[in-house]
Amino acid sequence: MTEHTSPVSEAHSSDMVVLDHVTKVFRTGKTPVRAVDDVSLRIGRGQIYAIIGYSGAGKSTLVRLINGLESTTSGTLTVEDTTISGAKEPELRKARTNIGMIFQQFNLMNSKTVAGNVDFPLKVAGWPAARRRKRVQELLEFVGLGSRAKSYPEQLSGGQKQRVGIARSLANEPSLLLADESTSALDPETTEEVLGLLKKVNEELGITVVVITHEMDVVASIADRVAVMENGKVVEEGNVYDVFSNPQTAPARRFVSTTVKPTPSGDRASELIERHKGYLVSVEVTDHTDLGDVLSKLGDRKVRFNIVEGGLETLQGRTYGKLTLELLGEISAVDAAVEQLKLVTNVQEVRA
Amino acid sequence: MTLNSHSLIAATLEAKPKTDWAEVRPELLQATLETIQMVAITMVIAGIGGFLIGLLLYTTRRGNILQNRPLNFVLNLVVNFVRPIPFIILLVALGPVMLATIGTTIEMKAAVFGMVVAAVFAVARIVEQNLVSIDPGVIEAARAMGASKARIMFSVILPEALGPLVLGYTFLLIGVVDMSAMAGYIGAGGLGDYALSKGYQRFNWDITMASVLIIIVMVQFVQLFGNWLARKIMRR
Ligand SMILES: Nc1ncnc2c1ncn2[C@@H]1O[C@H](COP(=O)(O)OP(=O)(O)OP(=O)(O)O)[C@@H](O)[C@H]1O
Ligand SMILES: [Mg+2]
Repeated sequence: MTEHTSPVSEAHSSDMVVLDHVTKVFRTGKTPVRAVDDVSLRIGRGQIYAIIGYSGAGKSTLVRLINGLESTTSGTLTVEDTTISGAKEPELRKARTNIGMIFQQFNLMNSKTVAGNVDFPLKVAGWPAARRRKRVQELLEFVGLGSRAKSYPEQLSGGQKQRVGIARSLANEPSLLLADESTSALDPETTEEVLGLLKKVNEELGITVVVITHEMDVVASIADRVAVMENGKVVEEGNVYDVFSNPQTAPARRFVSTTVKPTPSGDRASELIERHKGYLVSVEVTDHTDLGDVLSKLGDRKVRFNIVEGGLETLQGRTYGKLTLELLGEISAVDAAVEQLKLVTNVQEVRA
Repeated sequence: MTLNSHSLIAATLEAKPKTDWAEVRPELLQATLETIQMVAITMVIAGIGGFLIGLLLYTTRRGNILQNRPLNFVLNLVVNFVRPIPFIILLVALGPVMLATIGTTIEMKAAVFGMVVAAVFAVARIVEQNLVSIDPGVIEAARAMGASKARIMFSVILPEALGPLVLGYTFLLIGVVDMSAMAGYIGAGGLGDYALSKGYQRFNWDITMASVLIIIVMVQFVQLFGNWLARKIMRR
């Protein structure tokens, strides 16, 4: 696994979830499947932690290990002070009331109203009826569905169903929320609403959130840290900004390139070179890049520039992205301009 | 259908001496009550027993909350063993078991015994089939909330499948009415018995037809009620 060392990875003294060499092997088919393969992770208290990977990477299995819906084959897994790996059913049931979970398909009970669905975990935890009623209303208000208590799930939109799912998962005031592809069945606008709500859960209630996804946009918009999974292994892990700005492994680079345009290469580079007669360079843009200063002075050197392509993201409140520039002018002047750019940021020549 | 039976009744009326309705009416009423009694007892016992067996058939499946392959295998074997036996044969074949348990092989007690045995496995299978259609995600969500297995069975699985279950039970209840008529063969009483002994064997078509009509009306009523209830539960 590639580690991105950064202040954030050391700042959290108390961990919410700790996985130590955790492996899960399914032996249901002809050949055993190592769905989770020797994973060690620490998820800090109060973080939004994303786990990203392609289909079959083992993400769902990993979160299901965290709340004990699947049992570990080997390794130890703890949530707060509870050891989940190897725990017996009654212990697990108790632990689960402290761990909320939301699902891609919402998994609401169609036979119960919105209020009935949110009430269910309270009944499980043995709250008295009068307090339950108040708590249900409070939760529905929190997710913005205060007036829909008596509706049935089939009368709600996908986004509203997921809000009910979130209200239900928060019922017993958990300290950890697991979200397995919670926005994958939703359109972009609704996705944003639900992600906003998860952020609110994290910020206002201080709940640690583990977000499983295959979309890097989801990671970019809410996560603090990210783990990249492939074939049951965590191949790269770190602060979201670090992974985006400096992905170390092939799968991480592929995921990053879906949100942040990488330096053009191959066919895309050839195409750009064909369309532009100037010299093409790709420059990295971060908060601390004095790119503007350099660009504004290019004219003095008799060099003109065009922005050809690129993209910028805000990650954890900081800007990151890449821009491809076309530099036009005398060869020596362009060379000098590139040297000037290299002083302030990473510069790569665009080559076919 | 109704037209035909009317003309049939009319034809027999001319050929035979008139039926003494004043005498027949209380007997018919008595037979109807006996049928209702047999069907009700069978449905209560087989309905609950079959539900529990069906619930076990479903929950012991692979990947379900009580996963248990040997138990699931045995339950399936028993259900598949009893179900294909024609009811009238089962009624006779159960003779020794009846003697050993309830001490008789005739009349209502024996008939109800046979009906319960036949119905309990039919109910089990229908219940299982309705439960399989529940979204496993809902059960997963309940597990994730820390719900116990008993709570999942009775507060999640049962209500989620209630609408289809009502339709399934309606279907079974009509099958049990059918069985109760056949139970007339061992002198169980009820409309089937009455139609056979007072109608068929004495060539009195009036009585046979009247019994049949009452059964049809009962079945129609049950089906309409079942449909109405299921629609109400499923809100469509
Ligand atoms: N209950 C199970 N029995 C057998 N194999 C399983 C089981 N659950 C998952 N697997 C296997 O484990 C591997 C990882 O599956 P998992 O569902 O964790 O992937 P995922 O990353 O969540 O994929 P997706 O993005 O499609 O949801 C897959 O090869 C899958 O077939
Ligand atoms: Mg998954």
